[in-house]
Amino acid sequence: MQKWIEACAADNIDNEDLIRFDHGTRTFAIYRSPSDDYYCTDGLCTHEEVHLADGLVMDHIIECPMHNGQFDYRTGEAKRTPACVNLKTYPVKIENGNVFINIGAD
Amino acid sequence: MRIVVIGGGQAAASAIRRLRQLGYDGDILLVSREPFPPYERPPLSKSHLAIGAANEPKMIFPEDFWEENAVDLRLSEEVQSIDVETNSVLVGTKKISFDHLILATGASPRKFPDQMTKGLNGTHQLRNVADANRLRSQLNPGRSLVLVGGGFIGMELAATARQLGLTVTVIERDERILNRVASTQLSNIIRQWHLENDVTLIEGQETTGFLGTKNVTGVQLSNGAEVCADLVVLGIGVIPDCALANAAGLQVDNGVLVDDYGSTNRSGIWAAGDCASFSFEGRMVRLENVQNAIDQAENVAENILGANKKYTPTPTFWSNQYDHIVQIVGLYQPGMITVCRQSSGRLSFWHYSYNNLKAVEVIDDPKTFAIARRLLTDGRSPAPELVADDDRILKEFLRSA
Repeated sequence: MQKWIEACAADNIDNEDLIRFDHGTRTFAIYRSPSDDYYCTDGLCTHEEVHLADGLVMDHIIECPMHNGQFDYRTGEAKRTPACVNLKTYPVKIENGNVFINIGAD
Repeated sequence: MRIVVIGGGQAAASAIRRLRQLGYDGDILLVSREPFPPYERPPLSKSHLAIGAANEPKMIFPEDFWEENAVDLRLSEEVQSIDVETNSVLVGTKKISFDHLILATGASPRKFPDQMTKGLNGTHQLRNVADANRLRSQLNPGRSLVLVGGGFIGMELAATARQLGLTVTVIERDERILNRVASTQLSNIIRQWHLENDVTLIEGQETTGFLGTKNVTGVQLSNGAEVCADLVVLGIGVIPDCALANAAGLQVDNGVLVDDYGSTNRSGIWAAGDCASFSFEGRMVRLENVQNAIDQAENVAENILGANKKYTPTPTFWSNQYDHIVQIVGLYQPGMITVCRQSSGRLSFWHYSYNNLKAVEVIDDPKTFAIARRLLTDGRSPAPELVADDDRILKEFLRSA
């Protein structure tokens, strides 16, 4: 089931940064890469329930602000302990300057 | 090739994961005294003590990690000795040879002498999950708990015990709580949290004796005062576990001595985590925190596989107390110049030595912490007056040359 949701304006996210986006009971992180590509993952670190939106984006890595776990936000791959479970990722498209994410069925 | 790892904590786990990540496909044998595969220790003073928490600890890796990664797990077993001539360890009665050995033996809580504690029931220490389960069974509402030692473990336990409804007194020998591990500014704020939560703090008093005949009933202080207690927890620091290294003739001095690469004085024998002592900013240190256990162990794993990489840590620490999170990066030393940054009501303390940023303490502000950690890792040192200016956006300091 495809479900595209409008999340924010594309320029709401700084280059090499991310924002938190809540939808219903779920929370997501939406990223803008140094080359202005957009990505979306689950919003909470897979290690402990910490919002990744407080973390730091460097290149294609999001670093969890709490315990320093790192993920490649393009693939969700856990790159560094204590994080060892991959982050779920979601498709993103930009239309008319807005960011849409496909989070599947609710 | 065979790599043997001694110890069952974060450092052991991280070394093994890194070895496999880098494609090492030889034997790995892990010998741990603990009945569980490596688990997370930080929750033991916090969520693990909550009512209804499981007896089992939170594991570092999913259960199938060990089999998937072909790790020969020897739990509840001990290495009797290390033979540095034949490169082998004695496990039970079995001699096992190794090509590389990683000592990740950790540390044990410092104890008071037996003649002082007199084997009284109701005195606890906290290091492993068995300790935590024992302690939890005693943390009943209305009881009075005395914590000897106002370090982070003591202060975390104070917060946890207050939330469980105990009466709590913390006794600190030094002039202030957190004297060895935090700035005066930060410890003043933490003190305030505890006072607001009705913790009694007694600073600058040594604990000189334990009261009671069978069960502990209190402690005596150096000024002669007595403090009543139904239970006492000692949080007076740890001693690195280096008995095996010592007996094997490896260099030991408040920890297993390792060089910049994590190697002991015997080639092929390495150490990482709480038990390892190494040179950092001109002095020998052991870093007793999770981040060091991870980073140092990963560095050792890389060097075993030939990376020849120096270990240059950015010391990182966090503590949860009540609804607060304290995060520290770098090593604070008395005498540093401190500036306070206040941004959107969040406080952080930035400590400088000769205009070089050395440590940052952050309260309830993970984003600031993430940036401070990156600044220190990259060796950047934004000017104190710029940091103190809350109109400045911190992230800009990461981009400036």
